[in-house]
Amino acid sequence: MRFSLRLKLTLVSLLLLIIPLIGFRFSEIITRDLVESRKETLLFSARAVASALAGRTGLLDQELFHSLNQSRDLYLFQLTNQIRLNGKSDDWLPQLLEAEEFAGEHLLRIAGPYTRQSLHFKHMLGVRGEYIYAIFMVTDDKVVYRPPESLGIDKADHLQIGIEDQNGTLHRYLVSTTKPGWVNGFRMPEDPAESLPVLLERRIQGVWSETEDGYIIELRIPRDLIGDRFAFAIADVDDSTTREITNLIGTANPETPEKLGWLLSPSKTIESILQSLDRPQSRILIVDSNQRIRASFGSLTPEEPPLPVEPDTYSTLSTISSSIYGALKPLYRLFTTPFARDFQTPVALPTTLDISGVKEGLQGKSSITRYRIAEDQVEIMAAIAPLHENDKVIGAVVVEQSTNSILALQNKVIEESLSFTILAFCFGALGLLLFASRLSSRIRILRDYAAGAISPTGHIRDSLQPSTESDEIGDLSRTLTSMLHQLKEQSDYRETMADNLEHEMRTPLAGISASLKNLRGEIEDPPERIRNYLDWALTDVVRLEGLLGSIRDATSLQEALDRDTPENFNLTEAIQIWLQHSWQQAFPDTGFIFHDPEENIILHGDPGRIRQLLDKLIENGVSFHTENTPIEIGLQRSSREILLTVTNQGPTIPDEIRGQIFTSMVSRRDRHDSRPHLGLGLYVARTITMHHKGTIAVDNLDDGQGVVFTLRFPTAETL
Amino acid sequence: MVYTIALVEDDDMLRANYTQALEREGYRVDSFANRPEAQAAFCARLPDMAILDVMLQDEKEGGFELCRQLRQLSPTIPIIFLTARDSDLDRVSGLRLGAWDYLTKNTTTLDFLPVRISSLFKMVESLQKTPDVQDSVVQSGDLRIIEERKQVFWKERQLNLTLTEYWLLLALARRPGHVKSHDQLMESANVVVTNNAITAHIRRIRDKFQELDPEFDAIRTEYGMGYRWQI
Repeated sequence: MRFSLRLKLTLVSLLLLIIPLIGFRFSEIITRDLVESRKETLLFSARAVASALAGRTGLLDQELFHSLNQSRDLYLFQLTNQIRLNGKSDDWLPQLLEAEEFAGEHLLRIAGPYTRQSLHFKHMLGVRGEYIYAIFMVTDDKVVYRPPESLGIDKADHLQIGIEDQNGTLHRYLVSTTKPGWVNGFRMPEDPAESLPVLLERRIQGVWSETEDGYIIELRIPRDLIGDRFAFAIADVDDSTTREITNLIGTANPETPEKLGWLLSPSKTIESILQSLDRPQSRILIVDSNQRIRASFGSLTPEEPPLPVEPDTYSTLSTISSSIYGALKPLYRLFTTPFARDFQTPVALPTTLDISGVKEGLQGKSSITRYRIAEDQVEIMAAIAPLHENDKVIGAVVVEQSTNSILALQNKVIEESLSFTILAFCFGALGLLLFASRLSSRIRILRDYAAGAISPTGHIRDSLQPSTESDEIGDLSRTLTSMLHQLKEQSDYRETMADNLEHEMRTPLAGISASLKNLRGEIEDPPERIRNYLDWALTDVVRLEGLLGSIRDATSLQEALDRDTPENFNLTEAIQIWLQHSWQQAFPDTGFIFHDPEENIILHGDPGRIRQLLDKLIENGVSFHTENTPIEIGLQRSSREILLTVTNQGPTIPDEIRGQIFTSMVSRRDRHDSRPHLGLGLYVARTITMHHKGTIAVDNLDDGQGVVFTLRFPTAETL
Repeated sequence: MVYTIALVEDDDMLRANYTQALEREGYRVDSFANRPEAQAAFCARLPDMAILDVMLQDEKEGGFELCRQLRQLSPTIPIIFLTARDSDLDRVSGLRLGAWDYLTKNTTTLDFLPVRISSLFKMVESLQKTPDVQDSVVQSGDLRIIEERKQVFWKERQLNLTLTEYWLLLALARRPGHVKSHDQLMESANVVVTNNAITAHIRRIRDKFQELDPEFDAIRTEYGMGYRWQI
C-alpha cells in the first residue's frame, strides 16, 4: 500500500483534534472552580445576611421569630385574586394549593373515637387589601344545621374563631347557620362557659355553602379587627337530636388566650433590609423556625440583556465568527449543557421551604445545596446559614442563585474551545496540506527530474535549474544537479574522448604504417622473417585503426543518422539477402533460421542502417550462442508494428546489467575473443532503433536457455 | 619530365615518410611544415601538384587558406587534401575551395596515394591535349564518362566529382544493373574506408547529380548490401 506524503501529513494534522479535549478539560476545571467559588460567595452572603439581621436588635423579636409553634401559628398569604364570597374556592387559586389540611392530629377535643370521614378540612388565611380572608373546605359526613328558632348556636356544625385584638384583648366568635347562605360571626361572651352570643358581629361576613362531601365557609374579616394572634376550630355535630360536639379540630382552642397562635405574614421590614443586601440574579429568603418563608427579596431571572449592537458596527471578523457559530451550533449542542434561559422565579409564599439543608440550617449548620425548580428547569444553588439570636437558632437565611451563569460560562468555554479548535484545525490542516502539497510537489519535480535526467538514448541532460531554497530539499536538488553535472561532464568527456583519441591517434598510426611501408619498399627482396614482421606490424596497426574507427562511428552515429536518406524498403527480402550474402558468409559455422513471414513487410528507414543494426545483433548472437544451435530470426507484422526478433541459445543476461546493456561501453563479454569489443555494438543497435522510432528490448528466454532481442518498428503506413 | 609535388604536412615524421615514399615513386617532392613557408615557395615557383594537410601547426585551417591562395595562383593545379579531419563539413569546405580530392590519413594512405597521384597527372595531361576521338567513353543513358579526362556528363552537363567519387561512379556505371558491394567499390576507388564512408561517398555523388537533375535516382541501394547503376 502506498501512502503519499500529502496523506501522511494530513493524518498527522488530525493530532490537532487533541485541542478540544484540552478545552473540555479546561472547561471542567473552570466550572468546578467557579462552582466552588460561587458556593463560597453564596455561603458568605448567607452568613452576612444572617449577621446583618441578627445585628438589628429587636427586629426578629418584633417580627415574631420567637417561640413559634408549627401547629398553632397561622401564615397569611398575599392573595393575588379578588375574592368573592360565593362559596367557591377557585378564586383562591393559586395560593389555595398551599392550603393546610387539618385532621386527626389537630384534634382539640373529642367525644368518642375519631374517624377521618367524620371531620377533616383544608384551611387557608389570606390577605388582600384591608381584609383578611379565610376559607374552610370542610369534609363532614353529616352536616347539622342550627334550628332556625334556636339560640344555641353551638348546637350545630360551627366554626369557632379566637382573635386577639390590637389591644391584646381576646374576642371569641362563632359562625353557624340554619341553612347555607350568608353568615355573620356571633360574638361570644368572654366566659367560655356561656354559650349564648352577645351580639351579631356584622363585620365578620361570610358565606356558607354545601358541597358533595361537606361544606365550605368563606369569611372576610377587616384587618383592624385582628391583632397578632389568631386561632380557629371547626366543631362537628353529628347527632341532630343530642346536638353534642363530637370533634373539635383547629389550630388552638380559641377559648384560651394564651394558646392562640401567631398570625404570621411576610415581613416588610426584613424585606426592606434585604433590599439593601441585594445581589444580582439571586434571591434571599428568610425562613423561620417553622421552615416557613417569612421574607424574600430578589429574583433569579437575569435582567434583560442589553440590546444587541447594530449589525453595521459588526466587524468582518465578528461576522465571520458569528456565521461560524451559526454553522456549528448543532455541533456545540453535542458538547454543551443546555439550560432554560427563561424561567419564572417561583413566588415566595409563606410556605414550607422544603429543600434539603434547611432543617440542618435551623439546627445551626451552614450548608450548600442544589435543586431544580422543576423537571428540566434551571438548577438552583442555595446557601443556607442559620439565623442566630442570643445563641439560639430562630431561623435560617437562604441565598439562592441559578447555575445558569456558570453553565453559560462553561458552555462559552466549550464553544470557544470548539470554535478555536475548528479554526485551528482548518488553518492547521490547510497549512499542513499546502505545506505537504508544496513539499510533495517539490519532491515530485525532483523525482521527475531525476527520472528524466537520463534520456532513453542514454544521454544525460542537466537542464535543471537548481533550487534556491535553503532547506534539505533545496540541498538535495543542488546535490543532484551538481551530481548530474559531473556525470554529464564525465559522460561528455567519455564521448568526446573517443573522438579526440581517434583523431589524435590517426596521424601517428598513419606515420607508423608509412614507415613500415617505406621500410618494405627500401629492402629489396627481404628475407621471409622480416617480411612477416612487417606484415604483422601492419596488421596490428590496421586493427588498431579499425578499433578507433568503430569508436568514432559509434559516437558520431547520431549525426550520421540524421544525414541518412530513409526510404520504404522490403524488409523480408532484405533479410533474406543479408542472410544469404552476408551473415551466412561471415559466420559459415553457424546455422541461421529465418522465420519467413511469407509476405512483404515494408519498413521505412535506411536499409544500410537496418543492416548495420542487424549485423550487430547477429554478431552478438553468434558471440554468445551455444555451439551447434541456430540463430533464429523472427519477423512478423501486426496492424501497427513490425516485430523483429533475434534469438540465440546460450547464457542468459543477469538482471542487473539488462537495463544498461544498451549503454555505450558496457559489455557482458567476459571471455577473450580475437576481434576487438568495446561494448559499442548494442549501443549502436539501440541508437539506430530509436532513430527509426522503434524500441529494442532484451529478454532471457522462458526456459533460461538463451536470449532474445526484440525490435519493434512502426509500419511504413503508420509513419 | 619529373613532376614536382609540394607536400605540406606539420608532422615531421609523417612528412619525411611520405616524402620518401613519393620520391621512391619518381616524383620530386618539396615538403613544408607550415603555411608561410609553403606559401613563399609557391609564390616563387608553382609545383605541379599540392598535397595539403588542413591543420598546420597553430593554424587550424591553414590548409584551406593555402588552397585558396594556390587556386588564385593557378586555377588548374591539382590539389589533394590529406588530413586526419574526417568530418563532412571539412570535406565540403575543402572541395568547395577547388581541391580535386580529399583523403583521410590512415594506414592505407601510402597504398593508394601513388595511384591517385599518377592518375591525376594523367588526367592533367589528357586535359592539356586536344580531345581524341579514340578516348574511351562510358555511356549509360544520359550519363557519359570520358575516362582519360575523368569528365562526367549527365544530360550533357558536366559534374564536378572528386577522384574517389569518379571511381565509384565509374565502377557502377560500367556494369549497369549489377550490384557492387562495398568491398568492390572500395577496391575500384583505390581506397580503404569503412562501409559508412562508402555510404557517405555515394550520398555525395547522388547529391551532385540531384543538383543538376532533381529527378535523378539511377544509383540504387541494394538493401545495404551495395549499390547498382540502374537507368
